[in-house]
Amino acid sequence: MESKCGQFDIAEKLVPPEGDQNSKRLIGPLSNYEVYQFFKEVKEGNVRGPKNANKWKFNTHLNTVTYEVLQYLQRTPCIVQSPEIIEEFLTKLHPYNLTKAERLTILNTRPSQPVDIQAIVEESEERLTESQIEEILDIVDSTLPPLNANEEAKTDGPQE
Amino acid sequence: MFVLYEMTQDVRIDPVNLGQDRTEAITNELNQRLSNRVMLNVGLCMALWDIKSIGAGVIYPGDGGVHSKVVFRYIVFRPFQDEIMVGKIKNCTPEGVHVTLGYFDDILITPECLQYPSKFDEREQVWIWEYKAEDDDEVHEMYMDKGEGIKFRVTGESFNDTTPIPDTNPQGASKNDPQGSSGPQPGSSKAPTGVQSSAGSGNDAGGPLKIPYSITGSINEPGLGLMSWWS
Repeated sequence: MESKCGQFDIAEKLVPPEGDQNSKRLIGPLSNYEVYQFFKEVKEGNVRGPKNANKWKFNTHLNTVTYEVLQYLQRTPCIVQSPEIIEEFLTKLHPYNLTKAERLTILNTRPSQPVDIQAIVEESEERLTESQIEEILDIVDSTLPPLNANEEAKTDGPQE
Repeated sequence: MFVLYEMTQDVRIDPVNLGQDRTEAITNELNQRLSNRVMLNVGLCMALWDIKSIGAGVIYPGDGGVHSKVVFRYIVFRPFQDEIMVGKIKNCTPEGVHVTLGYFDDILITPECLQYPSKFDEREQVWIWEYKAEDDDEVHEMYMDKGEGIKFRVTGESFNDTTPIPDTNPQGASKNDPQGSSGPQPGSSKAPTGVQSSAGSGNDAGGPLKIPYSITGSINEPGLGLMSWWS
């Protein structure tokens, strides 16, 4: 900000103090599902309605991000999730004392093997028994829908 | 993987856009300014999530734009320490395995963070994990081919200030900066300080390309590595 406003008292009062400028504060993590829904809306707004089309038209950076993020997220299990599913999943996972980050990673990656859980959960040998890991995998399998039917057949095959 | 950041910035609405809805004009301006850019020590900015408040609009002499202090929340790509992420192998070099997420490329898994023992095949330009099962003596060569899905753990991150500073660029500085002014340029409304292009275009003066935000990963534990290894 240039200091053009020096001679105007009123302007000085309205300009926030320098320390207040460009402040950044971490609010918290977002799940892949939330980000996916957001960008899907951006994309649909882009395609539909002439009013909205104008809004995003010239923003090449945002369009690039939208395209690339959707390309990535479309191959993750978040596209078949819904707020109800996520809520049910988190409620069922509650008794296992996992951290927020661990629950989020399980939600985002939808693990299907015990080794996946061991990689996600820190010090899993001490915190979880083998049967608990199996229970978590069962919860994942029953509450979070698989990405598609082929994926389901592939992950189910070796376990049986 | 993605986080929400609350930020406060001064946003200028161009006179051309004063006819627009104010929120819309500010949304547009903030996405134009930050989207797909790395903010130092914050992460890769993706898109505006919402606007919390818009301060009073201020007009300065000699400028038709309206400046207002905006408090907003932005979606930022900033994986946390030890997060497990899934990406694709971009390529393999002697420095390690480069992984891409599509929207973010600067992820490197160094040789010491690969499964042990792994070797680099110079001719095929690929890393190979020489896996030896416990029950037989045969060595299985697990190729880490380009384009394969890979699961890795985030072990570190580094931010690089790529803001062009005249003093660090002797050839450019003498030509572009005859006044010899020191320190960075005062941030204009188009290029706020601390925001850099993710493409690293800030340093086209030659020399090694500085990467504004890079992540290091590791796969040397069970369950990590190529998706096909563990299924």
